[in-house]
Amino acid sequence: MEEVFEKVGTEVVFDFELFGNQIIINNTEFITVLVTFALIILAALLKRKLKPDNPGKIQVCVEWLVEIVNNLCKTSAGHHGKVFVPYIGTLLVYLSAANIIALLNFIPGLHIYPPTKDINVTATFAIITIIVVIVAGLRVKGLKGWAKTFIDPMPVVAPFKLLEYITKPLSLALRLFGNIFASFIIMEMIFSVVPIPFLSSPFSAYFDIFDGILQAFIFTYLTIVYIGEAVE
Amino acid sequence: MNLAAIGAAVAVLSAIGAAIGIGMAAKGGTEGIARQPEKAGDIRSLAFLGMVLCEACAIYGLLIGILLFTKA
Repeated sequence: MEEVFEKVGTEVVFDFELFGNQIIINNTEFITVLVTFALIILAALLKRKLKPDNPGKIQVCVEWLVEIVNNLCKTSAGHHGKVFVPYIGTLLVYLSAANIIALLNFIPGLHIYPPTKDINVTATFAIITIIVVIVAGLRVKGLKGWAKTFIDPMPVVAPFKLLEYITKPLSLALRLFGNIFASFIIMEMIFSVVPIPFLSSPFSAYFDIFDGILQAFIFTYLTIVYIGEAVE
Repeated sequence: MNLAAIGAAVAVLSAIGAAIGIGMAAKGGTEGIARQPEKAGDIRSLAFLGMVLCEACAIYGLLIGILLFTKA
């Protein structure tokens, strides 16, 4: 049990000195950058093979993903939805990749854990989301119209509407963090109890793949729902 | 006797309420789709939203449990 909770904290990967300052790169930052570069390389490779006629198997999969994001934005944010497709798509792809990266945790000496098990990463995404929501509301309704939404039915609800801008990112960040963190702890406990990798793989299929992709989708879905509320 | 461990166990009881809420959201969603299959898309997304918001309550309990357990 103790060795499971030792892995909960962040661990230092690189530790070097630059211009007299101690610079510490921990596990979360390392994996975040790794996922980013992996996705950039993947996108560059996929982009080269795109053909307008006679699409291949991979291109059909990518088009299906883009179509999902397009429909999500269209149904929730109406005709303003097209502007948010890049952000929503990035969020979906990045969070999915970040949540299931623990599948690569078989390389000895390199501990690859999902970066979303660190609350700093999820809080960053939640803050970006709430900034997007506020800016979208300001751009669509203007300063006066946006300020009017706080006193929409009557001025009494203004404190609660203000509070909503704090509770929304808080619940977004805590939901993603809690789910990934819990599945990480459960998987580590299973690994410490079951020494044979073959027996623990069904649990990994649920806790790593299914839960990770589901939580990434939920985060994306709630983001577009909040944006839709702001711009309607 | 470690009281923090008992507190962690009590905090995870929040999953009961979340489970009831998710069940009710799923029930409402399936009944709605059975009654009006043409509105399936809208009803599904609303039921999904309800489930997700219920699930957050269970997660808060779990987080408090983990915090108590690691501090103990």
